[in-house]
Amino acid sequence: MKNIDLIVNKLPAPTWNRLRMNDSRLELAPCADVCEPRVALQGSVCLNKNGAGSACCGCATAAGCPVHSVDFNKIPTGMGQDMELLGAGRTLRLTADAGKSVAAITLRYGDGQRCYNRLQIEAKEGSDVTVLMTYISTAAAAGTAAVQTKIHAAAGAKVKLVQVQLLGGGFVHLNDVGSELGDGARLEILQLQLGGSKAYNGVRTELTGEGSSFEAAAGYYGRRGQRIDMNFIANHYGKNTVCDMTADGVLQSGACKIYRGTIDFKNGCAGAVGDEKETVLLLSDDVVNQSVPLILCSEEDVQGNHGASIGKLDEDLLFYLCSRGFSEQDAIDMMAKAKIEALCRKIGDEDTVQLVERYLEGVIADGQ
Amino acid sequence: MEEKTYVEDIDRSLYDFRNEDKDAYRIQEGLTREIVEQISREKHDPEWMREFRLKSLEIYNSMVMPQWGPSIEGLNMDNIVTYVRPNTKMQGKWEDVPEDIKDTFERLGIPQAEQTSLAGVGAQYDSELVYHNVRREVEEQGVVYTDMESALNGPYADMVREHFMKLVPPTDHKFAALHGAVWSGGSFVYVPKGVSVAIPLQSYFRLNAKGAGQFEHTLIIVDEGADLHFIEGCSAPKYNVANLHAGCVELFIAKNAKLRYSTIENWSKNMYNLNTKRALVAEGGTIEWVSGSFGSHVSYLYPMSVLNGDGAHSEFTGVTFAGRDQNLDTGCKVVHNAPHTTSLVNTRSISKSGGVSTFRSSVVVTNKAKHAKSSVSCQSLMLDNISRSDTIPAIDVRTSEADIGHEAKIGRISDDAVFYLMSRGISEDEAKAMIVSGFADNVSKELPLEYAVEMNNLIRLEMQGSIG
Repeated sequence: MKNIDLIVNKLPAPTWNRLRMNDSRLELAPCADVCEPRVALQGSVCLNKNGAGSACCGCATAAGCPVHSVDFNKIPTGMGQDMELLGAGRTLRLTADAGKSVAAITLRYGDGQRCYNRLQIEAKEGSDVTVLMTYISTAAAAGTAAVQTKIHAAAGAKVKLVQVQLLGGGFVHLNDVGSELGDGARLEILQLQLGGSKAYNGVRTELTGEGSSFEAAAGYYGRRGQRIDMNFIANHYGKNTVCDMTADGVLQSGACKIYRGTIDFKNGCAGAVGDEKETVLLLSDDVVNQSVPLILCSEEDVQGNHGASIGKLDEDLLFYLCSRGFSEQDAIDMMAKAKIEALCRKIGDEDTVQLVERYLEGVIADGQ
Repeated sequence: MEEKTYVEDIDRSLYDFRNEDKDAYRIQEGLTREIVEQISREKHDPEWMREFRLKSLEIYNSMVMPQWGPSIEGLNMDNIVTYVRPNTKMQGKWEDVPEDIKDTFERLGIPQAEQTSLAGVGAQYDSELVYHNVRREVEEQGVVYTDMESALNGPYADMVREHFMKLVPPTDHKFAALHGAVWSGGSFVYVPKGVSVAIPLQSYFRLNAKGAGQFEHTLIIVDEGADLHFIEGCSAPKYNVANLHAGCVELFIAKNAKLRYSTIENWSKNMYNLNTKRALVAEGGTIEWVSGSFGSHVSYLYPMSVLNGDGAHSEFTGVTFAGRDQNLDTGCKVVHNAPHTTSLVNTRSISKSGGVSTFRSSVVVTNKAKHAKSSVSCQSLMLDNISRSDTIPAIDVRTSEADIGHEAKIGRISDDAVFYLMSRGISEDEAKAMIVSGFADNVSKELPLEYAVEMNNLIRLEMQGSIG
């Protein structure tokens, strides 16, 4: 079968072409394999293993198997339309009813596998659902792990999506997220990108409902020539909508990272507030860091802020740690690890935290 | 319930007067090899320049229009006259300049400024300079300030050839290639080693001809340890057809030299301002850009600093005010290409009455730029709901030994600030004008007093309105 050419993570407002930041291009072998997800459900959440309308299981909802009313095809994603070129993939559909629920989904990839999985999350009015997704393989494995997650949060729904990527060094990871938020809905996304040779990550949120809010925190530790490619987009349509996006990362030993972050205040989103913050710790001289933080605005009554800080470890801090008996390398490792651990603390699942911490030990040893 | 201020569009009568076309020579509209050869003949180019123009035309024809900025669909090169020679030669005395042209510059305040606060003045009318003068004491310091044509054929011909479009090659972008093909007019400045020019030099560009383009070339070389402040001003009357400005500014700042390049751009709102400005800064040198963009229908303007020597420094201070029918895409570029280089970018943009203001920048730190530091701050103010303001900064860092900071803010005029000023007896529109002037003071405080006053007047004119 022919390889597929993809253009992903397009910047909503392009800039100079020579900077090569407007989009990313990649060539992929078709994703024809199947990665069977392991799913554990708690609370009022229901699973359809083969998309909307398929037989449901694990349902603890009051009404039994849910009625599906959301057309997920209409929800755009961060990586963009080209993800459709990967085919239908394997679709899971989660439906969360009112009340608290948790869904833990593990995608374990074998060496050489090329898979495309899709997840649709429908959070009904008054639901409060946490979805924990973990992508893992053996350390030496290679392949393609493409995952698309679409979220529809109805009025007042709360969704927390945690995505932890701990793939082997030969994997290409495509993590594509799209969401639409109703009145007063809240979406929190926490992502850790620690593995793979190339990690593409696109997150797009449509803040359509009045008072809806979106919080995204992304962490990465790039090393050994890894490419980390991100595109975060928050489109404010509703009044008094709020977004807060942060990206924290470490780059060393030939890693290359691009962060695209866009806050787009559409006409009519009066009272909207958007914040975006990026910090990058550069640990070796052969890294490439690219950042394009956009604020687009066609509404008067808004507040938008962006801040970025890019550089090496503060010398005063390093000196202080060394004066306390740390070797320079230990001090650097500790501070780099602390950046990821700060995000780990927000995961809220002890098993996953331990998994990340074990993986991180290997990452740090790997980067040295 | 809050009252809303409606801000009227600018009264541009100060700049909008126009003279009857009495040009001595006007080339036919469009852009062909024959037209470029004709311009070259009219300007008595040396052979290398004729070839350079034709090569640039080839490059222009091979390049595509930019795909990333404001639309320039309204610009049709087939309708643009690329060369209009006024009915006079360049003069060294105001008295000798033809009455109508002299009147134009007098209304713009150029001769008065020359007497009170400038070391030299160049005044370009359409495609050619009509007046050039430099104070004797400045000349005696060895400072060369002349028109580009004289420099190209005079004792500095080799220096011009060595530097002309080396910093902005015609391959840089489509309108740099256009400039290379049809350039005309502009100034050449050389400041010798160690010379500090105490008061500024100024070039003023006036485009009077309907449907014409202005393509002046400014080449400034500030030698080792020298210091200069150069001011550029520009305006044009408004016509109902597109005019084009595709000038080029190349600045060479030698070791430990310093150049401040200030611009108050006030083109009319039928102007496509596709200008290119670039500075190459050697060891310990400094470039300071001070830029006020108020006019034009469409602007693409990003002064670029290439920090090529150890410890080189750049500062960009800019304000952009986009009103009705304006789409102003402005900002700056900085390349850190040597150790210990530093840059500061501080911009403000204001959008009103459907105007679109975009701040676009790039900070590139190469692997050679150990211990480089850069700080970028951009703030945008939206004055109504029909305007647009975008911020598109890009950062590319390729060494760990750098310290880069960036911050951007967007918002509107604080109701509390307006209320406070109104409680002190100031009307609402006056209060808003004061707040906007204050918002733009990063630029006005960097300008000589007379120009700061002019800039504040421009803001006041833009803000004139009534409660409605």
